[in-house]
Amino acid sequence: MRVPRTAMKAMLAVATTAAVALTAACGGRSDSADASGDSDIPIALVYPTSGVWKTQGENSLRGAQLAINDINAAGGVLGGRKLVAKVADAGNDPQTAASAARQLLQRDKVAGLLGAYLSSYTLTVSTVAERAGVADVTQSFSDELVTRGYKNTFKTTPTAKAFSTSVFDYLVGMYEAAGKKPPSAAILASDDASGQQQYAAAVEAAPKANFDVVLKVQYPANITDTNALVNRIAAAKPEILLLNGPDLAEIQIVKAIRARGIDVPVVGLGGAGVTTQAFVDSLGAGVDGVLATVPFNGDITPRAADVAKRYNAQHSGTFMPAESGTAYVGAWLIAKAIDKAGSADAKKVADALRTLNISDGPAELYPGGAVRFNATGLNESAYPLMIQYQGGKPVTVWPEKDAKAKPKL
Amino acid sequence: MSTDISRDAGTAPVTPPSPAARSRRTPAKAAGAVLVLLICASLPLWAFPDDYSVGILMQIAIYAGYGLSWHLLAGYTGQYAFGHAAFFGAGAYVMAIFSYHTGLSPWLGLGLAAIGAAVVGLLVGLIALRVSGLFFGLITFGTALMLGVAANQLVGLTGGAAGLSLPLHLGDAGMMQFDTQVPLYEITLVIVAGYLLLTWALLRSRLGLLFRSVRDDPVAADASGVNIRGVRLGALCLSAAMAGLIGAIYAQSLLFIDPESAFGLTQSVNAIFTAIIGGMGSLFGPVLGAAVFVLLREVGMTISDGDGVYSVLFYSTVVFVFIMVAPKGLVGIGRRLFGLVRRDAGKRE
Amino acid sequence: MNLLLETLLNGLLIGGVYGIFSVGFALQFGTLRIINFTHGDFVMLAMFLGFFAVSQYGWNPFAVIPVAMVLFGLVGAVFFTTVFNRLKEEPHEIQLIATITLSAIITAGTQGLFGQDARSLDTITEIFQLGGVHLGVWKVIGLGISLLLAGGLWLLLTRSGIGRDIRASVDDAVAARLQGINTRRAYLVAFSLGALLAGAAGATLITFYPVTPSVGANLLVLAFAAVLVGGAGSLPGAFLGGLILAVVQQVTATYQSPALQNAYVFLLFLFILVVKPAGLFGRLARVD
Repeated sequence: MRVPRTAMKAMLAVATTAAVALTAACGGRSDSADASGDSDIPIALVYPTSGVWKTQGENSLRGAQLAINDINAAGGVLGGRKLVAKVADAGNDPQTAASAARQLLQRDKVAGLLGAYLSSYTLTVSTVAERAGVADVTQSFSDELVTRGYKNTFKTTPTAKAFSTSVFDYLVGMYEAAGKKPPSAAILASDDASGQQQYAAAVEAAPKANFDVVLKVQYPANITDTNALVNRIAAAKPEILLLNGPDLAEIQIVKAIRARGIDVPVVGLGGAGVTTQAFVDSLGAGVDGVLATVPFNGDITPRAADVAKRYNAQHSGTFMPAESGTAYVGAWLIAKAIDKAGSADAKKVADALRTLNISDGPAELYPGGAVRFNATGLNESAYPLMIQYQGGKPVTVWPEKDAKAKPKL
Repeated sequence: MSTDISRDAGTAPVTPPSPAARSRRTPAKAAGAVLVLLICASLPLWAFPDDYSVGILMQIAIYAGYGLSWHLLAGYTGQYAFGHAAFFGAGAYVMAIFSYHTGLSPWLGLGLAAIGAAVVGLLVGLIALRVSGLFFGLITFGTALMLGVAANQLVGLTGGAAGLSLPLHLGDAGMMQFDTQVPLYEITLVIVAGYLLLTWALLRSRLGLLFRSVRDDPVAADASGVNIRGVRLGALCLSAAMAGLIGAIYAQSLLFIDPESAFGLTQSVNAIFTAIIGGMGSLFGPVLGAAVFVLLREVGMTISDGDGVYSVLFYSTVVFVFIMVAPKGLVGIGRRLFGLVRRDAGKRE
Repeated sequence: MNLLLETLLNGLLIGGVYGIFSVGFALQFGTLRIINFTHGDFVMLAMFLGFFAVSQYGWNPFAVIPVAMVLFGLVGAVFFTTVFNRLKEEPHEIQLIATITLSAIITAGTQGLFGQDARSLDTITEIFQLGGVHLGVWKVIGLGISLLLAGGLWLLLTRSGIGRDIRASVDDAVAARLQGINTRRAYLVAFSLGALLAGAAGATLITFYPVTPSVGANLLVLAFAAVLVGGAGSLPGAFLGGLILAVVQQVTATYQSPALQNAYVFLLFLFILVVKPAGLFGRLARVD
């Protein structure tokens, strides 16, 4: 008698689960907000809020939410309607990211979408958005986002290639200004999507800028034992270390080379791990002197400083991470486009983004001070900044016109 | 201790009914199967017309096909591939690389994907089938790992870790892209139906008998002149081709593939999950398993408010409890229930 | 020259701990014939225990090791009685999915509790110099602890009654039962010992290796490969397998690329499989 009863129970459990699933899958559409009419206007925020990229995903989310609060506090859009965030977790792989975006776009008629931080997630999420005719305003670096001929992908940050080439231009300038010649360099990059692009571009750009590359290594993004890397750095004796990767790997590497007495300057390629709060907290005073290229820094204009100050007050951090800043700008761009289109209809908002050309408001947060998208959807006026940790805080040190302090080399 | 760990691998989980009983029920079963498939095919028309739900149905169909391919190998020849993603991912990448670099129609890529995956299966088999059991499992696992590394490192061909993003040709059926996801879902269903038919026909053929003899008693099979390695290799290549074809569909449905979603550990585990939840040794087990697996995953996402970690925790716990309560899977439960009814009916007669 | 020496020594030093948890895996697999996919997660949990005990509560890393051994030995016994003893009678696919899901539950649960971030102790960067070669202080200590544990285990298995029972069960469970050996007790002790070794390995590993909730899967694959490289059924083989894999990893990382570490581990595994299917020490290191 025991067997059939357990069997029945299990079957019931499965049937219930399936029923719940189907209800969950189909429900929740009727009562959601709508973009036409007088109600709140939903915009989609798709970021990885679980898994390996959780920290950066959450930072992006916080930046976007701060922007939405600011927009609503300043009177909303379309003469008083409020923006409301619809959040989905891009999870831990591109398929989950796409599925989450699809579900969200299905459930809520959003005016636009922000996401998905990590390039490989953005690649699938933007495909979902493209099919749905919804604009994806993204901060991801991957060059491929703007080479696929998509109409609805808007990339607000410089390309990965631009990051890697500018690093050498900036360093040459900085070393010249300090009366030194270009140092011999070691290039270390993780083998994830953005790392590989930074690596390829850096390896190509370094010799052109007269840098002698004495070591170039790609390492797995989830590396745990950095011993072999440190041994190789010690053996190659570079005068500067160009480092890309997730914060955890970079913390390990920088700590280990410092323990080994290797005291060369470290430059974060394409921002990445060295620009995270975790990196700053883990290295303590040892963080000072570390350089990095970023698409945004909280000291670049008074407006950026104001946003960063409020962000830090809300999240008790010591600085506003670049991904928070770029997500903040992204949300504002959608708001501007809604007003320009005079409608919250996703297709009209995307049309408005294509011809958007602003040099005030959110554009003041970016170097270059303007946002307009070219035919491929790239914000052409953006360029990277070089920051250096001084007194535990990232300070813009190059290009000279944006610099807030002199670089210490 | 002996290193022959194959001897106790893959005992028959379900004893098949006698041939007479099977043939008597076949027409009714076949009619039922066709009906179920037709209902599945029409679901987007009346029950779940929206994009998201079709996406879920699509995932179910993909994992059903993927589970069927794993199950063909494990359930009928007793070879447990821990790294089945090696074949799934190979198919996905062959398809993606082909259509990305040549710009030709993915319809051609489908065939190439199946062949490419079968070749991977052949290579694995030539080494792995010298041994069996755990070694086989670990070799497929290692192959998935190696192919993942290759996909990551050969940036020029595969796009590296960033993956390959396939160009969009919305509404161009020649490029296997449609205005909605429904046509691709129907194509996948046709493939799944094909896999079911293939498995069914195979089991009734002499080859199916060979499969089972190799699984249940390799020593006796060897003694009676069966080419064990040949049979195993054939089953492996077939299973690999099936996984590869479904992998290609997966890539096409996303228009994207990267090393982790093609060759990752999760993707290998997914095949095992779907096949075993459904119940080993039954034709429809993997299909049922795929439905339960995908729905559990979505329920997990919903109740955990979109947090992937808690979703994994949820569906793993459900499956674990389920396995401890009902080790024979969903189909096993069904069998026990119906078996009981039938026995009772017999008593009354 | 120093680079090569450093690389090889580092491999050997890390390899000791690999060896210990590989032996634990081999013990469990040898007796129960179940691939315990949770073994790597046990090591991971012990690493977290070590991390919090040392960094939050100021314990001495040495003190954590015996605590972890006792604790994980007990947890192992509980797991055996509640789950693995039942699984023993089930078909392979059920064992497979049960331990895979259990591993997923432990990993996801840990992620839920502690997040995905890697954590490491400050001991990780303590190094000393010896004739121009830099070595991690705690890696050297780790190898010492591993050798001690391996020696202790060897004594237990060769000099005690239960040890002989376990070895007999590893050799041939049916014959052992026929000879009147209480195989259930032998299984229980062997499984708990395996978990205990995972605990010891984790508590040692955390002194020079960062922990993330998903590190268990990597460690499990290493243990699996170490057992098959060393020779399934040979406990000393599993230990040596762990040493060899660690050296291969370090050499690859230094002279090829860290990204290819595990690919080379697998190539070595394939090579050995083709040349000597029984594993390197399958015969040589047979315990009798």
